[in-house]
Amino acid sequence: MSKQFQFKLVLLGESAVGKSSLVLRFVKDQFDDYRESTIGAAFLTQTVTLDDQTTVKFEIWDTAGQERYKSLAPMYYRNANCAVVVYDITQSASLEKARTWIRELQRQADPSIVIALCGNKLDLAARRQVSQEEAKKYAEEEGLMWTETSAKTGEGVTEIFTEIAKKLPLTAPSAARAGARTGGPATRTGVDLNRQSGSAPGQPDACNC
Amino acid sequence: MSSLAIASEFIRSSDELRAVLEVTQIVNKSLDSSPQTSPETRDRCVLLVVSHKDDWDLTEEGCLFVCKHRWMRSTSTGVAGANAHPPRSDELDIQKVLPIYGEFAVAMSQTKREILELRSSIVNSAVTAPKSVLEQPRSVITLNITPAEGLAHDNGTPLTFAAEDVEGLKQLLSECKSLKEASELDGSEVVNLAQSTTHFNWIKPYFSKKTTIAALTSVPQDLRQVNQPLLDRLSPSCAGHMGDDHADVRVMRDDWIRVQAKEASRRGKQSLTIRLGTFNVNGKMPTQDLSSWVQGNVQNKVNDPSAEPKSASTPSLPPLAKVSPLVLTRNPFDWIIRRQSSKTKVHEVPVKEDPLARVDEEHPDDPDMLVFGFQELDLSTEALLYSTSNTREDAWCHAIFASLGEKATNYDKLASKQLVGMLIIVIVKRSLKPCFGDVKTSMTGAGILGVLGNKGGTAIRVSFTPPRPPSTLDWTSSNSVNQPGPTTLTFVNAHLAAFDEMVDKRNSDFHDLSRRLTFENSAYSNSSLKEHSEEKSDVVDHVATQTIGLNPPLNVYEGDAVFWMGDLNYRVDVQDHEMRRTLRNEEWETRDKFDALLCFDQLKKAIHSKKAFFGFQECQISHMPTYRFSPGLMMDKLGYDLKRKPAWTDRILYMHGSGCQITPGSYTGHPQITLSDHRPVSAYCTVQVDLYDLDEHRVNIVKRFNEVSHLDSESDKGGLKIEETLIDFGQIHYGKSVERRLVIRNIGKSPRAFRFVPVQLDSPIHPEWIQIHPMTGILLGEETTEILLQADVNDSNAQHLNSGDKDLDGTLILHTMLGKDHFVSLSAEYQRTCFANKLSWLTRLRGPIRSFKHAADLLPESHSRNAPKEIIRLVNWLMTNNATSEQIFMETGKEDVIDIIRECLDTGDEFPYSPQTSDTQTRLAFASTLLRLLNSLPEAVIPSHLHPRCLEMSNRDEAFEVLDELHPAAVNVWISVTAFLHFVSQSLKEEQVRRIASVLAPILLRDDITSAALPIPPNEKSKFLMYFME
Ligand SMILES: Nc1nc2c(ncn2[C@@H]2O[C@H](COP(=O)(O)OP(=O)(O)OP(=O)(O)O)[C@@H](O)[C@H]2O)c(=O)[nH]1
Ligand SMILES: [Mg+2]
Repeated sequence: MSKQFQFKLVLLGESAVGKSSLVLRFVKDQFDDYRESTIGAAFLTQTVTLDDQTTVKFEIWDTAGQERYKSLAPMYYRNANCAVVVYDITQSASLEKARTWIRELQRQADPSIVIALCGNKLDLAARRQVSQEEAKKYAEEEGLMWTETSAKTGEGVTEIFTEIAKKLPLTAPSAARAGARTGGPATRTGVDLNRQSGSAPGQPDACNC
Repeated sequence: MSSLAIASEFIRSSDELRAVLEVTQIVNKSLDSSPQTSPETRDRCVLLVVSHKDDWDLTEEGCLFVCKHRWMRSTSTGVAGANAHPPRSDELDIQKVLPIYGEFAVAMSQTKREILELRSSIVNSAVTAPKSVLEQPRSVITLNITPAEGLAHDNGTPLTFAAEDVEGLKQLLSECKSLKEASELDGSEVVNLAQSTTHFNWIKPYFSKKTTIAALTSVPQDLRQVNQPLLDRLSPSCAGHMGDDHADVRVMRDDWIRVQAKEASRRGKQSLTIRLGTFNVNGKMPTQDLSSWVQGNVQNKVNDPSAEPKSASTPSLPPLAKVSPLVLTRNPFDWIIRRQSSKTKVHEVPVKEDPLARVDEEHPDDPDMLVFGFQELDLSTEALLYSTSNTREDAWCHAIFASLGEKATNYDKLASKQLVGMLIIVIVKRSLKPCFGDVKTSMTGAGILGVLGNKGGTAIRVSFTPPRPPSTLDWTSSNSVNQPGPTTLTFVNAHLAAFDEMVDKRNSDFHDLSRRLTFENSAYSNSSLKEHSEEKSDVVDHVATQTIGLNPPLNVYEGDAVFWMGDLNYRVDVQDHEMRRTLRNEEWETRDKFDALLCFDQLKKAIHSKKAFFGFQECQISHMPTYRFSPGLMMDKLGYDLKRKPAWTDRILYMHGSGCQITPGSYTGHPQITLSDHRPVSAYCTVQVDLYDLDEHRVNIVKRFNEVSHLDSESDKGGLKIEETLIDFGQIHYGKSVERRLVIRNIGKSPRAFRFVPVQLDSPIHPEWIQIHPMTGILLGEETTEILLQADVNDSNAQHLNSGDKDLDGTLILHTMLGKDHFVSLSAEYQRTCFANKLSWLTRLRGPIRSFKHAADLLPESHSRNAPKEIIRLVNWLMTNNATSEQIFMETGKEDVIDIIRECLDTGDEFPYSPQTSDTQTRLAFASTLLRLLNSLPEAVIPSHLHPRCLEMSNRDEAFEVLDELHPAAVNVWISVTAFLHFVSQSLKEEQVRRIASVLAPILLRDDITSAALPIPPNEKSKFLMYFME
């Protein structure tokens, strides 16, 4: 019987680096040239298959990068199991911003959080301002995952989420086809939510098969 | 719409539609009925193959749905067009669901012409068809479907259909085949669809439509819920932390459907009048004329509390003071009301509207219903043990009818219920008797051991259906009401635990009765379920029955209105002597006096603290306590028993839903009826009953349900969009609210629900200076709505805002249920005000408040001013001004002038009005500003804890001693204000001086509504102030 794990993932990073675009590519395999800046936080889910037996369901919170909403970000990264901090390889300032986010996560978020640093807009490598070496070195120092992506071409997008899924502690199987399950899909999601808020990160579900 | 399109709409987004096939059901399988001979329209079906992939374990299950198109409601039942088929609507009804597993099989045969050949070609085993059959495109093919549990359960006959669409059939077969192969269920297992929690769970939402609609149509919502703001009924949620959105969406949806459907079906309102009475008779027999209680004053009693006859034995109460700031038409003191309303519920002021049509036009002045509750009808021990005889009930009933005099013949007893000493009687107008139905009674003891009937309650529930309006001749018009729907009224008569200190027991008695007084719910089983069975959808009925259960009993709140009366036995938490002294005080305006005492009434306190009777309303009490009178020597001057503190034990409360407004007319005691140790109490009220068509209401429920049925699906198409996410209120001033509108558009096609959520679970949803209406909502596809945002600086928040930054900001989070959070940024530039600050803070300001930046600007306490500059400026202006003082403090100045004066106080600018003016209007405006400023102080100039001392002072010198206790700033304000009053008084007559004192005293010596002590009488406050004025 296959097992499914569920994790909360949050995207952080300066405005316009392409957070929403990355999510759109990952969830729907689409890209928009003209996207409106996020004002709020979009909630989406997507499932990654690791092997025949294991799938990981991400509950994704795509946050707003605009400075004015910075104070609300903690609400979305609390209880997160993983974070993707995005910068734009054509804007060196955006890496600075990413560093700030990472420092904040290291201080404020759950200590077991898995953080990935992601340099987006790889298709614009001609206008690159942030070198791979610089970013990679920083990521290594901080013990972060690192990769470059293009939401536009799709390059590296699925990979980064899959890599994160692999890094997450898949220790306990989820409530697959739990005998005690009641009600329709509605109740089931209710159960998810309880667990999401109630249990410690990294310990998705107790097996009640 | 094509069947495919309709079916796609019908399927939930979490499920997949795999195949659609139009078929004709072959009901009678005798050989001679060939499917070709024009099949009955009603036998046309649509078969859907639907699958669902589990989110969790990714297993897939499939079902074959047998559906029928719903026909449009025939608008001309039984008239023309019997031959024409009603038009097909765009909706499907599920007839049967066949889960695909086990022995499920679809077998087919070609039925055209070659019947013999057909038989031989039946393929029994699987869902594969012989090529030969499918390759004949124009033929009619017969499908035999075997359910998963095999044929034994279905009388050995498979479901049989005829199909013509070969392509569709091919697809249906192949999808069924692959779903059957994918099924993880072992063939020997039989799944009970209604009960299984592990398999085919996902089909339940398709049935929940039926169960929901049935519940929405026939189970009235609990009034306690109806009256609770929707937001309070939702699960806790905040940014990044969704509550139980699925459950919340259903709550919002059901609420929306009920409200919308009722509104859409309402054709008007009619007024039903009720006279209610409660009487603890102390075991006595009716030996006195009861007509004042039973009938009241029949003439023009509607909405006129003063119409009740003033009884001779009521101590004569002074007439309403002529100068009461609260009765001025242009009320300068509306903030007083606001302040008070935060503690006590604002009394419902009947809004003068066009009078509604009466349910009984013949005798519109006589109440349509009379409801009387008695307690202690029989005090004998036998009665307690075997309550068999109803001689006493008959005697009281007789007395009631006797008191009705000649009107008695117009009334009939509808129902009564007795439990030992508690009796409730419902009497209705004879002409309206056919309108009352569905009469249910209930009773429960709450006395010793919770069963003996010395305390407890009896209740009657009736439904009132307005008479069909005479205009039914024009029954085709959209305004006609063919079958008016009922309004359900519940009446409770209770007797709760006695004695002052038993308040907790009374509260728990109340909850006990709320739980245990229930009525059998026959309406549900009779009407709605019957309707279902007509649809012959057995699976549905099965599930529906399982889900809701038959006949859930109804509580007293499940109706349109509930009246709760009786000897509730609540007492007043003030000292015995204080109570009696206050009741005797004739200089204290009755209403204010009672209001002051009622702040300590245990029932009012229980309602306020939500301990009991929460959500109930009561008319303004303007009658003396009704308990306890003793005929002997041991009584006080008012006739109250010296051994029992007087109390309002006998009460009549009510609660109503939004569609059933209750307008109180009168509420009074009847002191002239002296046979008992209690005095009877009566109330008269008007109930607005909805005039709506029952069928239309059902149709509307279904229609509205369909509009929002996909609300709980997690679709990410479209969604809500906020037009402007930065909202600037500009400058906001004290006392002037600024409104902005937040435009929310649903750019998608599916309905969406939203609610505002706080940043954190325990934080407020919005900043203190803003109000949001509404806080939740539902938007249909492509619908737009406006949310009102109101920035308001008032006495409750100005002080706090003054101490902070003048640039206000905040973020609202609008949460789309099961979706995105939207942020809305708010900003405003706060214009500081000297109003609503502590005197001790105002005196530390270096300059005008507008130049104040932060706490560091304040003068050290030791260097603070003697008195707030602002108050001194006003007093100085008034002192210098020579205009006449005749109306000063009696009339309000012009609002625009007051605004300008206040703005000058805040900015420090010169007043644009010279004190040399002889314009009395300007003078009045200055005086009003001073009054308002004094009233806005968080603490009165003489704080309430010093009021009892003021009471003791008997001359000017003594009065001055009280000032020693005040803050220096307060002393100076007191001195300068009273100096001005003294100055003014010299040119006025004594009567005028008194009036001025009576206006200022309640402000300078304002009561603290949170104080635990009874306020001192207003005349004493005036007396104290007068020492300084004369
Ligand atoms: N060329 C290129 N453009 C991209 C890429 N990813 C995003 N963009 C563009 O960058 C702009 C901003 O992208 P968004 O996804 O809205 O950025 P965001 O990080 O979500 O921004 P905020 O919501 O304001 O925090 C859009 O115009 C995108 O089309 C990419 O990989 N390559
Ligand atoms: Mg974005």
